[in-house]
Amino acid sequence: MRAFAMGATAALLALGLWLALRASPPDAYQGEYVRIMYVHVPAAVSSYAAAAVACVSGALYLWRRRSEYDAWARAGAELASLFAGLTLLTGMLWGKPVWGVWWAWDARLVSTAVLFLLYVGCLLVRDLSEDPVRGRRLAAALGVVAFLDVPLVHYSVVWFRTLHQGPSIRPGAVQMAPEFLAPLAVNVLAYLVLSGFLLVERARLARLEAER
Amino acid sequence: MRAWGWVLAAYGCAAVLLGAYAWRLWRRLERASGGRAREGDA
Repeated sequence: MRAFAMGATAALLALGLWLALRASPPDAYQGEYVRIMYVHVPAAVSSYAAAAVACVSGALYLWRRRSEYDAWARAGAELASLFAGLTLLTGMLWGKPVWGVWWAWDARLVSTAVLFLLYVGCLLVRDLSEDPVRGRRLAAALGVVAFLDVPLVHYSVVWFRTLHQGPSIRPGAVQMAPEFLAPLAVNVLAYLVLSGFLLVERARLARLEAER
Repeated sequence: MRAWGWVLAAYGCAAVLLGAYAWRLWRRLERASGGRAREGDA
């Protein structure tokens, strides 16, 4: 089963990469730079998904105190920080040539940086706490609270005037040509499958380490 | 040509970051399961 999941994830990622770097046309305004979207947006969506796992599992751990939920909360927080970090990095590599700056104190960028720091904080609180049980509880609580930043990140481009572009995909209104939408959809799916696979494996590691 | 440099830098970052994470996770799984990281295969 694991071998099949690994193979399916690798195949989806390879298809996504081919669509992003070969099949997708350059954009009329941004040219080849648009290809960064196919790694930037999937990383952001994956960070939201991992944050949701950390939030739900953290809440369940605080309620039921079962180590199984703690394993998922830890996996979610780790992957949320990983994908939020990747979103920031790829965003800077997109922003510099297109906007002319690596960074701007913009609502979308700052709220994403806060998301990254919140989940790094989640991991630090857990590992640096002298009492492991207290560390797990604090990390679970922080994982729940940190999720409040996800809607702020997502709607920051609607609620505030930002340098970052607004949403191209809204319920009932897709403002993106199919040539760009299809590679983006495949890459979002590939990254979600990858994050699901990594979540399952990371939670398994946490369980194995807890048993030792 | 210059644009492709930025594009490849972004994909390189993703490959290094995700690859390093997956590799480290795999190694830790192998250690934790006593060299049986594939034990869940069925």
